[in-house]
Amino acid sequence: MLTTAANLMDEGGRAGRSGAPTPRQVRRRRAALLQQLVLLGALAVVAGLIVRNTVINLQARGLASGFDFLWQEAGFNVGFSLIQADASSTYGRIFLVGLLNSLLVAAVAMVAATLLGFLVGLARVSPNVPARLLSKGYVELVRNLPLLLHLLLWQGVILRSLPTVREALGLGGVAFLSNRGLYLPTPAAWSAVPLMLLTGAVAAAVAGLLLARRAHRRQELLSPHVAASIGGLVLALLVVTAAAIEWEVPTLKGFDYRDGVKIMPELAALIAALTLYNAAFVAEIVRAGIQSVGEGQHQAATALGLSPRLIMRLVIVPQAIRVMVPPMANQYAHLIKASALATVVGFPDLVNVFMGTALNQTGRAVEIVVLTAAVYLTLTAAVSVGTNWYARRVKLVER
Amino acid sequence: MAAEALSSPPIPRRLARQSGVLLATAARHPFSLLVSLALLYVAWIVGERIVSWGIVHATFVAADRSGCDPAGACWAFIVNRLPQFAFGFYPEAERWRALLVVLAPPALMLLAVVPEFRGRRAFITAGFCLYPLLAFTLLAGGLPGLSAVSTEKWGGLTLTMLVGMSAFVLSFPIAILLALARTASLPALRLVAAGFIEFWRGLPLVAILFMSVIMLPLFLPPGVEAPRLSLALAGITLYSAAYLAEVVRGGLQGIGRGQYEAAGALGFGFWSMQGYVVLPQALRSVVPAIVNTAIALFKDTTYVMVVGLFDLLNIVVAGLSDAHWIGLATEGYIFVGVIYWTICFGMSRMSARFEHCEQRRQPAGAAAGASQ
Amino acid sequence: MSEPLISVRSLSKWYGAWCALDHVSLDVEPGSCTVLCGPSGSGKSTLLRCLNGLEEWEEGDVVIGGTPVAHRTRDLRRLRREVGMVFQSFNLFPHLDALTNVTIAPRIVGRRRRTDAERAGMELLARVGLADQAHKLPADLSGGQQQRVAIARALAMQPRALLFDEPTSALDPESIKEVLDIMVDLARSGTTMVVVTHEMGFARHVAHRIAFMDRGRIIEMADPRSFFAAPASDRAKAFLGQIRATDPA
Repeated sequence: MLTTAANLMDEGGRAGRSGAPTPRQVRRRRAALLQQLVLLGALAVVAGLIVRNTVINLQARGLASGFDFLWQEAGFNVGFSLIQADASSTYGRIFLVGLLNSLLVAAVAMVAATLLGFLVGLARVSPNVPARLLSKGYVELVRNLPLLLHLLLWQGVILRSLPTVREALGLGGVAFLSNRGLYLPTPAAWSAVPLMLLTGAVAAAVAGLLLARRAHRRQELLSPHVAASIGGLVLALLVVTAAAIEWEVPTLKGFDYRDGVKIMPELAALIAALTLYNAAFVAEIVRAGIQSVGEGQHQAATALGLSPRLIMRLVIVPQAIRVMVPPMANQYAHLIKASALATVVGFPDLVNVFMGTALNQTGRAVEIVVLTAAVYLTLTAAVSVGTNWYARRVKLVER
Repeated sequence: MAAEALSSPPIPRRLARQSGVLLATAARHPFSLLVSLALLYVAWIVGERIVSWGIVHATFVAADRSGCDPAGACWAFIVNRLPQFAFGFYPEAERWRALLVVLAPPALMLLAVVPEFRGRRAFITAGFCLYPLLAFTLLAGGLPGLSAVSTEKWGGLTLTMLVGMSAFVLSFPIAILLALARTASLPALRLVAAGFIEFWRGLPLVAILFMSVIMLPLFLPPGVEAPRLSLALAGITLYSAAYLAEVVRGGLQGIGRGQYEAAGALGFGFWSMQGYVVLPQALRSVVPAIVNTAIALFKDTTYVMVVGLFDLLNIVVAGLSDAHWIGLATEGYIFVGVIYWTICFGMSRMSARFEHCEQRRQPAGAAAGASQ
Repeated sequence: MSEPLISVRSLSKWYGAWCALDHVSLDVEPGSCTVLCGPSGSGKSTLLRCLNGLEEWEEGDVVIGGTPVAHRTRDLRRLRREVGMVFQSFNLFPHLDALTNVTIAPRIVGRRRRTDAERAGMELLARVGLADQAHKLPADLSGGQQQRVAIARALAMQPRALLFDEPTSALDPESIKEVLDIMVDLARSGTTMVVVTHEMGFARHVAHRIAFMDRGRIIEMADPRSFFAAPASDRAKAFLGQIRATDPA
């Protein structure tokens, strides 16, 4: 209830019989308008002072203004990029590179943290005592250490203790792990047959999902046999596709591996730290969600004769998910913002590349800060809009 | 475990019964048993290695790296550089000042769990409120009897404590004002407050720190200089205030209309109503969330590293490049981890205890009297 | 004939198009106990809450002690110091013990010294029979005890009149009597009271006047004896019939 003391003092009134405001209300609305004008006026004065100071200071330091720098050549190389970029790229392109890198880190960490977090969260509430204790130990240990410490631990200790390039760990002969990075194979080219197989696998997966949804709506259970067959089909098609196409395998040439894709240790450290840290929080959210479903639900379901697995799937999890969504969305927003830590380890994310290097080179502090802030504000706003949409949708279903 | 009988049988029989239950459960769930055994085995192996490296073969006293047993941890590194980790680059003769700054917050928090004495609450509150000003003055000096020490020399645990506590204490009043503004009846006030809160909550702290150090000097009148520490502290304070404001707002939303009416009927004005009736209840109801915010803030103080300040973590990182102590990153980070873990875990335990006490004070009868 | 302490003149209040109070007029003499009763939705609580400014009205006047009430914040606060209120759901401050609940308004609003306020507060608590519970928190008190503390709290500001908004409706039967006893005591000692209640036993024995309301109007105003013996309007008859059927008192 948001009634405040102020409301009580002002006595928010309603219209009189004829619908027109009474003299008392007119007086009060005028007073409120005046107060708001004074407030906005004061803010305008403060803003004006700030702008004045900024302009003077910028001029004193001989710094230019304007967004035109976005079309200038940046003149530096970025260590990792999802799109084509080099020293001749514009600052605008560099902005895009940083943004995509940030999104990549956030997305991968989000998925990994959710998966790991769910596993640990379920372990937290499992009847298996060692699992419960170990997961509790993991959560308590990880949660109470700063994320930055996690990051430095991964980068400075764990990844540095990996073998050198010459003695890299081979994973099946197609991937290699060393202290200079993780090397993975990439597809060299695609031809007709593997493409068809891949399409078939995707189609089978989609069909399976639609089938499951239809069954769910009719409150039927998708038969485990059907599910297993569809899963098996998809898997088989993927395996055959993988075998059929040509791969570029990383091979040691000179001082480093060539071909394939190299994932730099900074990126790996960032993703590992973000995943492990956020998984602990996700685990707590999952635990709280499951425990929020009252004991009565469990008892009622058991009385109906449902097996423990069905109880989890049909009764506990749907209700738990509803409780979990807002804090989970909050955690995702945190994760997106935490990707900015890339600056510390030197991975070229948005803050590092744009607010760091670009700002140093061009001196356009205000413009760069405004752009970067706009990006993060948009991202976090998107997360909260998405949460609200989901919460509203879930409410309808519940009724 | 199966539910035990309500009475307690003598110990040997109970043990026998429990192990019987264990065996029966194990027989029914062989997979679970396997997983348990695997986990226990892994835990044993890892634990044994940690103890062996960290304690058994560790060296605690040495002149430099070469004096350490390579099979164990080289804690001598920590022991040797402890003064620097604790006090940063503070001049040796004045270190007592930094020591006071470091010890004051834990001392205040310990007072909260010590047996009650008269005026304890007022003392602790006053201690917290005055800490930023007193700590800053004590460290900065420049007064008769206290030599001046520039902020560039502050570092280590001293800086961490200073930044953490000051940011928290300073952000509290701002957060309360923001929360009240966010729930005010004037739309302009509500919008401005909401915008301010969402702005500081939507940005990463790294970006905020960069902004504070780069842009705040531009906002100041020309010629006015502010030390980097103050700029960073301003950024962290506003960041913390935005999060705390949302927590306080949550507490305010739980106060029933009847409380406002009763206070109004007694003749309370807006500010006295907030101060004596509404806020005490609102804040008490969200203490766990407040402590969580404080814990998060304490961990976030490590971020000042990105603007070149030497908090505890950064000063250990700096120490790692000392030629005498090469390659001791593990020991360094473990040391930092232990300190942070102890403090953060301690704070969360205290909050749990507070919540437990509050729950005992609020049986069901409170519902009728407290809200409508 | 003395001036009425509270004078309501042609008070009207609308919620949108629905009329909650329809040109209500009422005079409350000092030292008198007036009971407002009627079916739910009749506007009795609304009228009561207008008397200390908790509700606003569109037309008409409320005059207290000769001064008309205008809706300026400062005036409202002064008004509320003169007119105390006891709520249906007690609304005690849960974070303060009983004595502090009673003394906080005199200390903060009335600016009395703590020692004076506590002495007066203990007297009031003794008067409502709760001197030994002075340091208990509301959560540790029963409903009846909480309401008695609430009465002491309202009395602590030494108001010229006391308003009671269904003070016993949220209480279990054992507690109702202990609260009514206090109210009877107050009425007999000359406190000016306006009470909204369904407790007709109290009304019959203690009220000086009963105002029966229906659909925003005072339909009948009479002394208890005449009202209970021979209600004039049909609606009052129906109302009393229902009350008698459910409550032997």
